[in-house]
Amino acid sequence: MNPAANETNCCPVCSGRLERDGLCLVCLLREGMEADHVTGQENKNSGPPTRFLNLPCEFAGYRLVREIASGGMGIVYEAEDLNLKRVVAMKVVRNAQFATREEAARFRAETQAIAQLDHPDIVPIYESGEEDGMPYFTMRLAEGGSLADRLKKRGIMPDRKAATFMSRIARAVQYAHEHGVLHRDLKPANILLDVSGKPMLSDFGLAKLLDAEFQLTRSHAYVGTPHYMSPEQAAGKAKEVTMASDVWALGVMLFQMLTDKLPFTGGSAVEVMRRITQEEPEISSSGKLTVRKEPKQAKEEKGRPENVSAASLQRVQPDLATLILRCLEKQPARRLPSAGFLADELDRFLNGEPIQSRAVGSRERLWKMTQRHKGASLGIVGIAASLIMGTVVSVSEAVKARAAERVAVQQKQESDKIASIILETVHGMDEYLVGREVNPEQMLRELLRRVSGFQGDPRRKASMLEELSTLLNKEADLKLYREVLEEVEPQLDVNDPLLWSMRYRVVLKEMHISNAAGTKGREIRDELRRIMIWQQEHLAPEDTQIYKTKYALAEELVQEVKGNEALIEAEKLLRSCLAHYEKKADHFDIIVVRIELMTAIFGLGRKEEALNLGRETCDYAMEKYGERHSITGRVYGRLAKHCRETELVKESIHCARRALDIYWHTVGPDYMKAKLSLKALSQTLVNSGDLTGNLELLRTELKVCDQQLGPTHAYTLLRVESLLATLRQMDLPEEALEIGGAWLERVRLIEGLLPSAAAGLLIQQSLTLLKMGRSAGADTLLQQLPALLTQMTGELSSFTRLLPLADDLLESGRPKEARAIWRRIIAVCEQRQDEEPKLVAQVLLKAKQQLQQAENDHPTVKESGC
Amino acid sequence: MMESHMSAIDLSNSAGLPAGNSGLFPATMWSMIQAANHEEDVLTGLERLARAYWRPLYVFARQRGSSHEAASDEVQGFFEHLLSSDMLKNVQRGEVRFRSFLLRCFTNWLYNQHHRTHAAKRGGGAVLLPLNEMDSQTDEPALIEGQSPDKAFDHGWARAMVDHAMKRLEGELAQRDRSEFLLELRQRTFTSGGAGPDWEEMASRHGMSHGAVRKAATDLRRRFGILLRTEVRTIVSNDEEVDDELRYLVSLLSMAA
Repeated sequence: MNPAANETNCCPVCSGRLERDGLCLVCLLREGMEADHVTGQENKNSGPPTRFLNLPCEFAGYRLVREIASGGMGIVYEAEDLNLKRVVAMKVVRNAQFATREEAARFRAETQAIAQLDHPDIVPIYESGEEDGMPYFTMRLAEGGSLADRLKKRGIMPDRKAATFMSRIARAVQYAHEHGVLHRDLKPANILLDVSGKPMLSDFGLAKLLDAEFQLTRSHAYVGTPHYMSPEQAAGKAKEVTMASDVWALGVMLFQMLTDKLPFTGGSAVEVMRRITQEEPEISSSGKLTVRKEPKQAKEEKGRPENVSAASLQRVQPDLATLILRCLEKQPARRLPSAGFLADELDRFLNGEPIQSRAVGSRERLWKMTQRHKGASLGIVGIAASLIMGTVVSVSEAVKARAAERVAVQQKQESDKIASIILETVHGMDEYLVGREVNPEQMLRELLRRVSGFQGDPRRKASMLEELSTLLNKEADLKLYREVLEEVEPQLDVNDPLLWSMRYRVVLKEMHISNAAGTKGREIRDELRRIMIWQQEHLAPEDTQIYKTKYALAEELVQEVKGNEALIEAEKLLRSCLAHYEKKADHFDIIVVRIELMTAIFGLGRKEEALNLGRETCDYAMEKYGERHSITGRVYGRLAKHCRETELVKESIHCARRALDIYWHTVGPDYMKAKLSLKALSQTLVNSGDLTGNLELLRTELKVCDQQLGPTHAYTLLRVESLLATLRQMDLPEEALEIGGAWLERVRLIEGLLPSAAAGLLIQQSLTLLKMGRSAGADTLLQQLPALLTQMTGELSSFTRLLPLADDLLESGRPKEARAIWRRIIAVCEQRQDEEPKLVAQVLLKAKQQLQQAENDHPTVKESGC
Repeated sequence: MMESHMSAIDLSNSAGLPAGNSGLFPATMWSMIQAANHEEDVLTGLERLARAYWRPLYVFARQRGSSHEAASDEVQGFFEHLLSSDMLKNVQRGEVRFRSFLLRCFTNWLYNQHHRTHAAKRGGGAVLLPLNEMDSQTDEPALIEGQSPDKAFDHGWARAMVDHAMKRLEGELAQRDRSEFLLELRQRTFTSGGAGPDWEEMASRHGMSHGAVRKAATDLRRRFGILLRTEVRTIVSNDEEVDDELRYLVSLLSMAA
């Protein structure tokens, strides 16, 4: 090779220097980073090469006038909308060199997150799009500069002004949190001011949708400005960045407004980050500013004044100092529970009321000390117990923010996630745990056990339980919960809101696991009605909790009870909810309520009215959220269902396709509702005789799964199976064989060996081979089955779904393999009976019957294997 | 006692691995070493890791100005020292990454070496490291003018990780059906720097569709990513560090470019 050419040999993708043998190390290392992401598609199709915009210029229908700021990912321009003739701020991804698929996705997530937020103190987003491969969005231009400019020019803010200002910001942050959005980069430069000096939160450059599982920012853990970083951000623990991290940043800003200083300073970013993670802020709980002792002065004498500089003579009001210190707790779990709580506290301060937060007291000091000398004396369990005492509130906040998006937390998968929130909090509290394998399920169990053994203040215990109840989804949990509720109930006042809140939570959980048609179901609904009545009598008429209860009852009536009487009651409840949410202009809940209302009305026989409501709601959702939000998919999905029931096949198919398209582009193909919509659409197509259309649908979905989840994802594998079965049914075994074979090969290539999740695929492929009379091929494949079955772990459903496959195997003359499956299912079910007793009982019965039947029909001839 | 451990380690056998095996070491080698209770376990583990990652140290020494011979001697001498027990107390001090641990030990050792008279004899004739491999011209790492030794070390480190993962990938591919196609694909996918080689030509030669070749290339890259992560996992303390390590090296190499 020509050595001169070598020297100029640059990677066409990242422009990095290529190795002598032509490898690009950067690109290869990035493969490693990518391999951890949920979506592992190609990242090389990144768009055009680097391009800068030379000002002034026209771009996407705007005239860009000047650059206002440049952030981590984009440049913000002042731009004139050529159509509307208004001046806006436009953020454009700065450098296409960095616009990898990952960053583009992040940008989209960012715009999606902001577009969802509709709050007077959050800078509104006008439009987002992509021009020449460069994503952009426009937002309102803030004329008053930023808080950073304001602080630079005018220095310290008076106490009350700072409190008022911060209260507003904190409320806006709380609003964002409730909508599942973290800011992650709060700093004065991101607090813009309008002409009147009113603050507006901007630059969700790092906002991560809590709910969309955007893991994309994980490879950028060190984002943010060091001075406002929380300890978890400074330590690079991207996974542990939660709402508490934003609360930390609010604390830093409050400190800065009141003192014109920063609580953690240092000569370099690294020094600042080290102090953030290790040292206490430079303020005492009485409000005295302290100057950090440098090592030389460490032996300071007691009588000597600690603070020397003039600036340090000022004091912050003790209450404000307490709030700052509470925001600046190293452990996220010990911070003020939410931004909203900080706002409430500041309002109390402004109204001359006592604040509820306590100064950092002896207990905390003791805690901090034990943290430093942890080790043998503190085990996981002890830490978990302490955690529960102090952190339930913050966990609950996290839970609530999620709940705003996904109405019910029923699925095991989801509660696992929440359990891992607790776990992550534990990790944050004690690095002792980091990297240790802790099963969230176990942890949750342990937490519950601890709580039930708690012998302190009953109110405290009740509130812990109340927070935890959101995680309870098993019958055993509920039993425990009921016991404790009974224990504390006599000690609480009958009108204690906590008691009613607990009752609400319990009954909600009970409702999810009980049969609506039975006596128990009726009792549960009566209890909900009692709670509703109490809430109406004791809570403020506009308290959203009332409407949550109403909605919960209505949803149960519509979805489970049905029947005329139930639907009439539901319609009334839903209309009342609708009026409430319309008054609050809460678009999300308006849509959620309208969806159920549509079904209620439909059930009452007013079909045309229901369909019209559905159509209107689709338009409404499109207008408010567009197709980038899963809620729009939900409306289309429900409308599709009712169209199908009215024999409006065409409209049904159209709506279902839209729903699917939206789900696929927002929450992904493995989202529960996406799965249901797909199933329904597939069924509709089959029923209408459009088998080719159905096949095309399954193919498209598989493509989406392949791209979004990756070819080896459990759900993708499930969809391959489904496609194979369909192809066989349609008498296209050759195609099935080809797809199945290729897929098995891909899975082997990527995973090294066939993973246990591919057991179903393996069986499907064998079935195809058997159908084609190639039993030798099937034998070779099926030989691997016993090993895969033994390796299988995970959710029960991954076992139970093999039941029909066992039947198919038996039918195809493979009783031995069928029996192996049943035996494995029986063994697993017997081991895990208490997880989902109802399901287990059902499955066990079926598997045993089948096994027995098979034994009778094909008596076992000495089998080896499992 | 140590002899018996060393003889039990066969590093030459990297090709004949069973498919799907996580490789030469347990996936969490470094954390296992840190948590090990017995001196010999620590020593064995350290040696196995160090043997896999001696080249970056060599590059470091070369970039500091040592000749090939001197650098080889330094690395060799260091390894004898490394495996002596006074290094052990350094292992369990909570160093998160093997990379920084190794470099810190090496620079300390070089420093002390400088101040020490050259009385030490090379012990027992046991050649611990395959340094003779270096003699082959093609294998010698490129020294980059003006690069700091630290950077050279990190660069060499990244290269060593990538090489290990690549070797494992190759080992796996060799055992697959259509291994010839896959090995060719590997060659083309990775050495073109991802520019998109002429798939069309390859597709027609192997009687496949253009899309199928592209897809296979994507799968290959994915597999490589998984193997690379597995490799990185052996030399860091916990899963979270894997991303940090990769990110660190990427940022470093991007800056160098």
